[in-house]
Amino acid sequence: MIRLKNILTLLVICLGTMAYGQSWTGQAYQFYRANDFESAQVAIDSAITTIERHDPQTWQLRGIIYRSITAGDSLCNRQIALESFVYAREIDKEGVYTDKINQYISNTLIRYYNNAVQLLVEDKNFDRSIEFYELYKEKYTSLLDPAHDFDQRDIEYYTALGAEYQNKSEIVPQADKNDLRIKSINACQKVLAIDSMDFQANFNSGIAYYNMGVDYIVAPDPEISIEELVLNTKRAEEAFLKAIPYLKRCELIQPDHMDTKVALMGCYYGLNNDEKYLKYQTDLDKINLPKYLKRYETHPTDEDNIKEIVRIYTYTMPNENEAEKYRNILYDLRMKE
Amino acid sequence: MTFSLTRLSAETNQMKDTRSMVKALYIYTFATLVEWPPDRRSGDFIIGVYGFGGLDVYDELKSRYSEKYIGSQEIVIQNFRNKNDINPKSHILFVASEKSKEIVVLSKSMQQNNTLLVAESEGSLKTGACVNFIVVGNQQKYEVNKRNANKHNLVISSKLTDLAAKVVQ
Repeated sequence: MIRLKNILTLLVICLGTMAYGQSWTGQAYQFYRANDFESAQVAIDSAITTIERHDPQTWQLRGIIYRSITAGDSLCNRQIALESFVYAREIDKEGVYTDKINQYISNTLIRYYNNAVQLLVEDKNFDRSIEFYELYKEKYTSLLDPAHDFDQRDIEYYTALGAEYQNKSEIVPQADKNDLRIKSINACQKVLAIDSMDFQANFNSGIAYYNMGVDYIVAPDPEISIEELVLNTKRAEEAFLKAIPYLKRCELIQPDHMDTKVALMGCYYGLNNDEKYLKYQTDLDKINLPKYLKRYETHPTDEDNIKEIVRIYTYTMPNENEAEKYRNILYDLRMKE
Repeated sequence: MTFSLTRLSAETNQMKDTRSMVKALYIYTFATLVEWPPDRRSGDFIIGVYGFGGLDVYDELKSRYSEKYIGSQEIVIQNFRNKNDINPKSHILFVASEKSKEIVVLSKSMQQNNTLLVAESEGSLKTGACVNFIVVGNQQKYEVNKRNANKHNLVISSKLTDLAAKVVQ
């Protein structure tokens, strides 16, 4: 009886020391709470070499500790963290911790997404960003939810990616612009495959093609050969024609979106389609004429502004007297130069 | 914590006057593909633009070609508001559409100065223009009247006629 009592006492002491942190897992936890991740790592790696390795909580803690280590290869540590959480879930036969572990996994996986966003928006390292985004999705489906619906995430990510490519295309040398615009369009295509009426993806695609068309005309060396010029007008035509369906869809979605109207107007102008060009130009001129006239009052020597006023009074809102008046003003200004 | 992606939008190029740019580029190539008589191959190479409607073409030409050369001749771009202002020494005269009715007269008066008359109105080849801008489908193209050019003692290269939408022999 005394022997049995001793055994029971020993067991209680043992359990007590484990519960109060004298086990490797307990020690690791104490280090972790003190933000001493290096010591926590040593302790938890010791724990999994002992009988404690059969405890799902040990593996959960290992995941948490590895996830917190910022020194060294953080991606490698993140991978170890994920493997630890997954193993914790495996040995948690009763499923006691499943929800909690899945939450840990989810919170760890989101870091791949955050990396993708940071690489995209801050570092502008697009290729690496795409790698991380794909990695995020791949791991999410393999570790957490094979049937997860990424549509909303894809729309957000690829819309932003398309816009970033587009923005970069505006600041790189001419020779590199179209490559980036094509990448922008490809990113938008991924969005449109999910939602063909997504405004932003349609708009960004339309603008990419429109800008491409404009650059075929604007960008060439002034001493261009006639063969190249003929080819460029053909290329510009193709680009403007490709832009229109996307922009028309934008117009359906947001009929009053001003940049869409300007881009459509530019496409039809470039395509020498006066009927459609004038429709958009007239609509815009009705809005803009008061602004131009007001600007003339404050900036009477702004030649571009006066040219716009003359154009409006000549073509879209004809008023020959006014047109002649501003024509004279413009010529007088030029004579003074 | 999830980092959020704002839905960045692309920026539109401001509406560019692509038509005037194309015309300006073509006018330059005409200058390189037409042969002027020997006595017009020295001094400045004058490209004139006649009419307010050609102001954008003039601005494009000026920004792209001022101080550049055709052979050894420096390009000078000029804009003429009235017929009396037109520089008779112009090698090329681009006539804006609102002045197209004057091409008949201009053709005669500029003939002796070997001026390449370039127009942008339907039927201008018949009234005396050597080259006329036309729209074919969605594209800016040009047509050539070799006979009118010959009257002005100008030789138009085969490259220019080969790529023309129409050639009047």
